[in-house]
Amino acid sequence: MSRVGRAPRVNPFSTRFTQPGAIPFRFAAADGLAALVAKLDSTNGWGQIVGPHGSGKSTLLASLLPALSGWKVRHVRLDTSHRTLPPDLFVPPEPGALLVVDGFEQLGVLARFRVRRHCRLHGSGLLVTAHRSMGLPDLHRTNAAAHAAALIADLLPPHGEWVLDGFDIAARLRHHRGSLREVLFELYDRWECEPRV
Amino acid sequence: MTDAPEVRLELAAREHRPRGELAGAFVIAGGPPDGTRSVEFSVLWRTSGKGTEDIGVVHYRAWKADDGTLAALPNPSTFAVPLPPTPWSYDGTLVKVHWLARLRVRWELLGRTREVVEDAEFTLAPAARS
Repeated sequence: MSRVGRAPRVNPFSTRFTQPGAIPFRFAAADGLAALVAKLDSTNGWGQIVGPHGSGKSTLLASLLPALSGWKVRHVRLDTSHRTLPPDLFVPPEPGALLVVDGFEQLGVLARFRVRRHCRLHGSGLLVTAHRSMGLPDLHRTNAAAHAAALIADLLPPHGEWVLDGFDIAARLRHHRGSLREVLFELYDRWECEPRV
Repeated sequence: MTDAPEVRLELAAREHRPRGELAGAFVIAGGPPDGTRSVEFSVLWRTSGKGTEDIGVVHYRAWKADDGTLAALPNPSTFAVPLPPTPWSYDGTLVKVHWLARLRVRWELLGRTREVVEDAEFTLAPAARS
């Protein structure tokens, strides 16, 4: 049967269900979000979220940003296809400003130095995510292994457990160097392999 | 009112041809709840898959408290929306194309905006392909 005109089957591992903001970040403690906000406040808004590719840094940011009501947040997201900062970033910020750069390691050394100097000179906060330490105070280290199984279980619809038959989540996470995103891509493909009636 | 309103969205048919017409009706049981800000009805396609997802809205109508149109909302309401020639429904592995009618009700409760969304999926494809 042609795939054209066929009602698409929902894949629970589609981007719309797994992208940052679609699933809440899982904190180890019930007050994890409040503790993180307090920690950021205690460093005057300076901090870094560090973790491997696909381990939940942007998902953590999506949960954290709405809770930063005490800050005037400017959020910049960088990736391999978007490595430049907005030209208006270096105008003097308002008091209480917090610059959030998701993917800070995408910037070159000089650009990172310029951002840090700008924030320090104007007394604004700087919160970044990166794959490795950027020399800022550690706010959080993401580790998908701690919550991967529970998150995947939440994504599964009723009677969808078959997709995990013979699938070792922890082993696949190790194979992908801690990237939960890559594990979810694998599960997306497994889901597509289910025979259709 | 504290509970979400019961919303029903029914389509006359689930399979449609390009340039055809999507007909159906929707009803908000008991009428829009107190504090309703808007009732929005749309017909759209969206893609899903492993990568970036797209969306295209081919029909949109809103009844809002702010501009006084909410009071004129027929309940139940019927609709007949002309459909475009493409994109056709597609159940691919890497990407899928979904067509749906969507009803969204937004209301204020204790200073917070809440919403309920009801979707009804259908297919759009030439007769020989479905």
